Amino acid sequence: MGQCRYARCKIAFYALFLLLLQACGPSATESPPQPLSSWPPLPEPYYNRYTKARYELGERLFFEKRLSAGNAVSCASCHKPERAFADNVPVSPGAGNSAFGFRNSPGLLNIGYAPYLMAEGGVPSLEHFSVAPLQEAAEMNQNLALSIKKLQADTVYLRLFRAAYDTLPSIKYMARALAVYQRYLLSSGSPYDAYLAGDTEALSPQAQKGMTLFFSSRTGCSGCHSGFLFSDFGFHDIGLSVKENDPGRWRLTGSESDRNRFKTPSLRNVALTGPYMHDGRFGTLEEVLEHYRQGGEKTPNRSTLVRPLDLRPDEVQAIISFLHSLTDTVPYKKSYL
Amino acid sequence: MKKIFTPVILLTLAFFTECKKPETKDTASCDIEFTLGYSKNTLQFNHTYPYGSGMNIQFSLLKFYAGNFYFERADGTREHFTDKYLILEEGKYSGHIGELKAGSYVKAGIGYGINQNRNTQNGADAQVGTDYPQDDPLNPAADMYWGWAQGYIFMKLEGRIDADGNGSFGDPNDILFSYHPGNDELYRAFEYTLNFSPEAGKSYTIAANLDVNTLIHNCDFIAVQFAHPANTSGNQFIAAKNLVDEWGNAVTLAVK
Repeated sequence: MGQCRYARCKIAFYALFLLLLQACGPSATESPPQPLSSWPPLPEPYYNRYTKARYELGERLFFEKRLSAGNAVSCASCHKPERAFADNVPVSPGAGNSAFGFRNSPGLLNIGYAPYLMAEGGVPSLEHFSVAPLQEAAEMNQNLALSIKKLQADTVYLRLFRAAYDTLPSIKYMARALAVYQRYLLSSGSPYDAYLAGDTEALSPQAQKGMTLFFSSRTGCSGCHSGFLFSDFGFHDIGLSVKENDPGRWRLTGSESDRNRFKTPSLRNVALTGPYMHDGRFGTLEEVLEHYRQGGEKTPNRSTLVRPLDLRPDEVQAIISFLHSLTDTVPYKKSYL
Repeated sequence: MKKIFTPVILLTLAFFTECKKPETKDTASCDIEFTLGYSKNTLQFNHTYPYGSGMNIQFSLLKFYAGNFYFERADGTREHFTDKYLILEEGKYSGHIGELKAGSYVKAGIGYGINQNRNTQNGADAQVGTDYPQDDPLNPAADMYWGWAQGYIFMKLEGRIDADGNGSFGDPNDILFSYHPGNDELYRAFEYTLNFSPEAGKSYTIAANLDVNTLIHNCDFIAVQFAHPANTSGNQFIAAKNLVDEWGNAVTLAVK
């Protein structure tokens, strides 16, 4: 009887928790989607604040293939919602030709919190960034002016731009709408968050063991993967051999001490965002953990935190189990459908 | 009373209208037109020219920003066209500089690239490139913009080298080159001699003769084939610097 009451309470707790999460989920509302209450406020530029109309316009643009050469791909082609807005291939193909970039498509959830964008940190805000991939030959490969011409021929976009910014489709407001949409791609509902909220059973014993290891000085994982997003947004050389002539942050600064350093990615939803590393060289979390267990290669700026780890196989599996607990449980749904 | 009031108003208006100076234009319309040459020949894209020792070169693209023009009088005073930028590219190597005060000038200055006040590589406070009107040279639609690093590409020079000099550009040893200088350290401003006496109300075109052979004089496309430097270290930066440093020698100005 007591057990039955306990089970009912637990179900009620979960139901309440899920309801709260649904309220935070990525669907367009009059008020902006809210991050978890334990997270800091989401920074937002005064000149491009959230409105439902802007979010919906940005969302439609994000899935719009006409923004690419030959109407071949959209932003969502390489930032797949079901993959936490990352891609499931090491490097994604561009539109209209056989060109490939040289970086793995990163997940976009919680990108509004990032103090700078790109693996070398060269872009200061979403407003600066959001149209950059549209013209890149290895990405969407279409001049912005042509993209706007296509949008201006569509009465739906005429209406949406009018509602969002009281203007005709333009590069400026396309960039802004895309920024609004991406800013409010917020993750929520992971078992880890439920655990932090008080549900001590949200994490399996194995995941709890992995969590202890993750935050321990023995592994040093949280030395870089810190904070509520599991990223210090610093730049680190983690002992990955240089491939495809990608020098990391050196590309931006030219400082030898920045060679092979890349921005720490967030680990939220990491179970969904493989392949891993800046070039997608590792297909599975097991490979990633093996890299860290061995201590990486002797690269010039390798972080002192990256060194051989004496981890048993069950401990590696425990860490992987913990990483899986960072996966959201609220599926993404297009708000305009 | 009313009968008197109306003529008084009309007379007052007439007085002030007559007092207003008739508008006289004291400026001349000033354009610039670049003509591309290669040594003593007119430069044609995808045409073969001798390069280095026994090699050949073809150019496929030359596109660049020119701006921040000024004209200097003999006494050193200047008329500036600050923040005026033109994109010069195949099919449109000309543009309007602006309305220049009539007078006598002895020098002209041209900036190549985007100066650091406008270059968005300088952080979040810089104006977002997409905020410029779509037809503005500073809008990324001009395709002279790095999205990944922020900041403008000051010029694009691309082509290929027939390294074995056999007349074919498709051999395994032949190379493609691509130079895209574009960070604050590679902005260049040069001053040229120009005796120019524009008269008010007239239109003038400055003929800028650009010798591409001189421009690439210090470039080694065999050693550095790809130079898109967003930083100031390494071979790419040095190679790009060798290119932009020659703007001063490669261009001569005259009044058309």
